[in-house]
Amino acid sequence: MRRDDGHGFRFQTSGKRERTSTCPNACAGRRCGPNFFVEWQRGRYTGGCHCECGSCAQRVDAGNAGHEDDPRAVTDHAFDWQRYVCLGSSAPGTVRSASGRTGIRGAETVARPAGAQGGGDTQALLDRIKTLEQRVSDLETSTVLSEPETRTKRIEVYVDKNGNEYDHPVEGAKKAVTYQRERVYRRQTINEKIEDALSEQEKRSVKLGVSGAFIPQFAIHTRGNRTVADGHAYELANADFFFTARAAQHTMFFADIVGISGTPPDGEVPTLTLLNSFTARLVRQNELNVREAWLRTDLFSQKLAISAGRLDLTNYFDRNAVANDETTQFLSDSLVNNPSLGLAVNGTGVVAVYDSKKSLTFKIGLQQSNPAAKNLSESIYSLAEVGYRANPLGLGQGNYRMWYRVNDTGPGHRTAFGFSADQRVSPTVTLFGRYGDAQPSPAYTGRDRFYSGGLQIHNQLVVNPGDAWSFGYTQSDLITGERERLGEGYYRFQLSEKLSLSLHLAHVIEERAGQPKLGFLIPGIRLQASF
Amino acid sequence: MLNSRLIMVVCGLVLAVFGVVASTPLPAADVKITDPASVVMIVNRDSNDIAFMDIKTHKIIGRTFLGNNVNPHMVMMSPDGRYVVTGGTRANKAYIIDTRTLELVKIIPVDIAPEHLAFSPDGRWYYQGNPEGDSISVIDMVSLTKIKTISGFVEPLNVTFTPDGSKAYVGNYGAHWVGVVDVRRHELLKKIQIAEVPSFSKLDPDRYYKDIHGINIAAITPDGRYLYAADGDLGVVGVIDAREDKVVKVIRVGKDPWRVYMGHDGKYAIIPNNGDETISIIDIRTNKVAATLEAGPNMTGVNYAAGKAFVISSTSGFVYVYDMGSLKPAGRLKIGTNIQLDTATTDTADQKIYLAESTTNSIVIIDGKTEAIERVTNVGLYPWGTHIMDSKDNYCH
Repeated sequence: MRRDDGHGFRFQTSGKRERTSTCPNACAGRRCGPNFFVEWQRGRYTGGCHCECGSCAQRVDAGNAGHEDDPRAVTDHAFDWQRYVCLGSSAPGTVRSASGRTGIRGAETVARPAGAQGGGDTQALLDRIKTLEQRVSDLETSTVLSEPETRTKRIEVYVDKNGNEYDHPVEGAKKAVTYQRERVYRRQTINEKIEDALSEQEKRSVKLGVSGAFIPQFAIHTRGNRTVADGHAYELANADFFFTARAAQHTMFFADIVGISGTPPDGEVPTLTLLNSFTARLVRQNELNVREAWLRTDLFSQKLAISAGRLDLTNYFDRNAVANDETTQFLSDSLVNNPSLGLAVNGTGVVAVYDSKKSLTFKIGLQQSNPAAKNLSESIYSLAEVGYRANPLGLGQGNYRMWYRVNDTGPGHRTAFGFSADQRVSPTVTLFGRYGDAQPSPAYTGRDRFYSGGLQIHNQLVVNPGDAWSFGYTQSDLITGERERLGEGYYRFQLSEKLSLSLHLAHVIEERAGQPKLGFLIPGIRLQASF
Repeated sequence: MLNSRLIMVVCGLVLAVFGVVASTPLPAADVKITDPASVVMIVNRDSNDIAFMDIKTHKIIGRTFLGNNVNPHMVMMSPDGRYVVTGGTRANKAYIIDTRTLELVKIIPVDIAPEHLAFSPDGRWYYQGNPEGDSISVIDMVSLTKIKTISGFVEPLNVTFTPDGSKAYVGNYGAHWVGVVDVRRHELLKKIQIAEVPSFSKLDPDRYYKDIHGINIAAITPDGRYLYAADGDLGVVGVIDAREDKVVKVIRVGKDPWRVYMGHDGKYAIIPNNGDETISIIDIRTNKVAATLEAGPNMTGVNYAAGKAFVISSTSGFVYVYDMGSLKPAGRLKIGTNIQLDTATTDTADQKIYLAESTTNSIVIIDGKTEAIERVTNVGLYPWGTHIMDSKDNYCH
């Protein structure tokens, strides 16, 4: 480390001989540091130091070093430029460094031309141009905004009763938050500036997500008396538009507008549960419906999230990692939601989720579940759930949830409870299971029961890395004697990040009191695109 | 004859005086750091300096200004504690600081946009990665000169030396391979492909043509036997046998894995998956994913302390905590609102974490055991990296 009070530089050889040169005023006092150079000039290698401005130089003639005819010697570091070091710089009042440089780079850029014997001046000029071109190229490669960056920063200050502001605690002064301009020496590339601007704009804008699905299904009669559904084809098209926007700090607005068109098999195949979950909790087809529209805010260090508006409570309760989403997992509604939830439509409500990000989560919610109700008291549907994350027996992550619901829609007061679990048993295999127990009506003393279970395998025995396949079985036993048993398997090809194609095969057996069993095989395809 | 003897005597005396002067230790006032392990180094991107904070008192005991618009990226101390080095990303230079005096002793031009760096275990070589120059600059720490620029990389981000110093592994973020460098000759020996790009990429060429998220680092096990390299686009971690330099296992993790953070005991490694906001914990003995746990957005680092893992979610203001015994979530620490968390280092006792928080110019000190938080303010403008000598969690973005 050297300090130099003058506007010049020193040129030192082998730490013994030192020569000093003073830089002319052209660059004095500016950012002008020493640079090492080596040139081929007049048939000899010359090296030395020069100011960054190039207006002054100290040279040493190395032509007699014995390597002038062997450019390889330069690149092999045998050339003795390493002994020479440029010292000092010229910016007064600052700490300056000793900037040493071997002759390698210089030698690379001004290597002796083959056969050059004379005309060294021309060659030196050409070499100089080449060097400058390289420097321009370097500048262009890292094109930067050189002016200081100005930005506004939130700062904490201390203000006394007289309005005097301090940046440190002072007796009698109150802590206050203010904003202040800050100027820093930060070079940003044009790319970085553009990215920052786009990112800032994105934060303030309403984000739109679009999802579309096309689902043809078929019904093949397999058991019992033939029905009109046998051999029929069905098709459903669905489009979802999601809007999200940041309304305030930790507060978000979300809306989901959905349009469905087509004929699902549920119109003709007499099943207890829907064979296509896309139509669940939707009242009308061939028009746009607001499925959800709510505001969410996070409180208490974002441990408590409260959402209010038009809700789909099944998005918060009875969740499952591998059997919860008709757009990427099973199509049958009994493998997407627990039928014991008994939620027929979405409605206005509120839900609170407490998640400490440890093992336990708590949720409570209520909503209006009858669009025809004249007051909220007639149609309150409420749910509560406790969730627990566990790694039982070192198997892997498991999620276990227990819920309880009360439904006041219609006459009486009906309750239900249920359980939903998913347990990873290996990095690629996840088991799931559900149980539900519901009181169908105050008139009945018995209860409807529901079971389901299955597994999902991803990234094993698959064609593409993102593919998954799964199998699930459900059984619904109603107090009225009706029973449904359904099995479904699917294979999902993840064709691209935004496009998936899945092949589904479901078989359902319906039992009615006093009637023969009915069986249907329901093959289907789902083409799903999400943006 | 007499004159010549007199001259010799005078010269001898002068030399002796010079010798005494040269061997005299620096005045106490010039020595700012006596124990290199007693400080936390802080990289201040926008004040263009390296600040040195005393680990015990949490006072800034000095800082080294590098120059306007230098914008240093990562700082590291040489294994012998003699020098502190950093790459000035917007100056295209490497900076060498004397640890004792905190004076800048050398500025060495390197390639374009130097960022991450590493020292060979013997401290002889300082490898400076230049992501925009697609090269590694080799700096000899004896002569403090750049002796070579190794080219042929594609956005080289991090360099990992083997414990014997014979090889260095370079993560290429702009490609899907790890470069193996022969440290004796400073030459790129081999390219190890972590996994093949899936065939269905034909349907989704954009995903692989633009903005590659390749390999950030090849993280080495404490015994030096294996290296683990996560590939962001492919969503996998490749396990490289360091003896044979070949991939022996490919482990699928979450979406867009950022990089591998090796646990201090070598039992587990954590990979933050920024694509799906989860972390994957890999069991090093079985080379399987032991757990996939929920985490936060934009994760930039993982630190291990007091038997827990602390995962930094840069834009949410939270640090997510995981119990490394049960492999379960253990809550999250709220560091602040509307802030940007950057990277952190852990002290050598594995007890305290020093987290850079750039928006408030602070260092947040987290006690690993009690999870108590202490904030040291005004450390410089835009602190975004920290470093402690011999820490096992010295990393960068």
